[in-house]
Amino acid sequence: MLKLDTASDAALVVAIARLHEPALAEAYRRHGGAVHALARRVLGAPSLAEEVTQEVFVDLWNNPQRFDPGRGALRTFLMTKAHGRAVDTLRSETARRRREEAGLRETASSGYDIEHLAWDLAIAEQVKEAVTSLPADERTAIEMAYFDGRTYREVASILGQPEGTVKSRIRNGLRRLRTALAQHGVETAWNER
Amino acid sequence: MERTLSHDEVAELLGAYALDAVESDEAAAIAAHLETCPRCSAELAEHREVVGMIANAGGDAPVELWDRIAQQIQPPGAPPDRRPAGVAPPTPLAGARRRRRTGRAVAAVAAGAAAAVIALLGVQVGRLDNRVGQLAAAAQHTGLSQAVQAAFLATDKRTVTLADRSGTPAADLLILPDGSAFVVNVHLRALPADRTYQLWAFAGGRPVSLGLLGNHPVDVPFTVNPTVAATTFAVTTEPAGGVVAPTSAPVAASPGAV
Repeated sequence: MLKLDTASDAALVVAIARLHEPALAEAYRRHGGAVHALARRVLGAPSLAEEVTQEVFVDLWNNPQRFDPGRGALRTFLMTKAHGRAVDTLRSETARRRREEAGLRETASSGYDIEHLAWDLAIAEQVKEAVTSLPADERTAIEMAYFDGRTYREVASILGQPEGTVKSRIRNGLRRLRTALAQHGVETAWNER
Repeated sequence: MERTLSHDEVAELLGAYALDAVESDEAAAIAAHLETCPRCSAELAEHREVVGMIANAGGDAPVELWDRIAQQIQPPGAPPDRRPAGVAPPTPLAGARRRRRTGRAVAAVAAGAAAAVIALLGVQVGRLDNRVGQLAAAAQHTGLSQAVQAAFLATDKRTVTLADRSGTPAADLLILPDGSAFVVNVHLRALPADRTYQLWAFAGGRPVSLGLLGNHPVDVPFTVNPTVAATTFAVTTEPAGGVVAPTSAPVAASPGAV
């Protein structure tokens, strides 16, 4: 029998493809917290974040073949899905209204607090260090785009900087983060599960 | 809003794209470019990995949310292909789920024209779990050959032969009832390093990628979603990194494929 708590993420997905519900439960246990926290961070409203989290895992259940273990970790796959859905929700007018009515969204200027969030203990320090070591303008551009769900054009207009500058700050910042994380041996943290 | 972006324009936007921070017309143009550009696909994968880490602010997954997910994946009146043959519809929810947990659900049968097709790829969970778990473990820890041998020996496998355009067998697919599967007996010529073979299933006429076979495939494992009624299979040659939809005619296909 597949031992769920020690199974690799890839093996979990194989079991999910077989409609083995406990495997989805285990995937949720491992990654649901991160998915939910990301959706919450982008969307603000708890009800919307829960909807996104639910959609991500139901979609994994219905379409497990969309995850290709050869192309990255399950965590990355789920976080990509979650962020895409969160941003779609954010950009839809209905959601915007709901959010404004609920008054739950933080203002843009108060939100850049990723170092205050609770990190996955195993890699927390290294990721934090890598993020804080980024040049401030790169970090700001990445955080405004990612956590506030803004496009690079919106970021450029808010910061009063050329679009091209913001584009390359985001790209260079992500590359710099990757190098910094790789130096700390963080890159394979999820792949070896 | 048809818009095309050059390789350099796309490359500049990859960071923003990984953050879902491009305009929708740009997103469509980037997605189109990614299908044919392994270099950009690789860079995007790297960005996403990093992004996934900086976002990693998770506490524990909310337990009550799991209950809602569990309900949604097995709604009352579950689809017929998850029911054992000849068994009355389960009582909503608890019935369907408990039977799967205790491992007695076996075959898959649907009514009407879809029945034969669904039955071919039908779900057989339960008693198969043990063997499949061992198969998956074997594939992971001791290389493929044991798992492939086990698949060959399985009496309940489905074998699909893919033939090239002249009708010569090019590869066999061994598909186990749980959805785990292997490409074996491969006679496909080696491709240059920047190309790959890609395996497709056609479900309702639409191609679904089953995975990349590499540029010189021998025995390759893949997974079929047992709930998808894939009727035919085909292999195409594509740029390394693969594509979302076939860009060329199949070099090998099962009977009935287009």
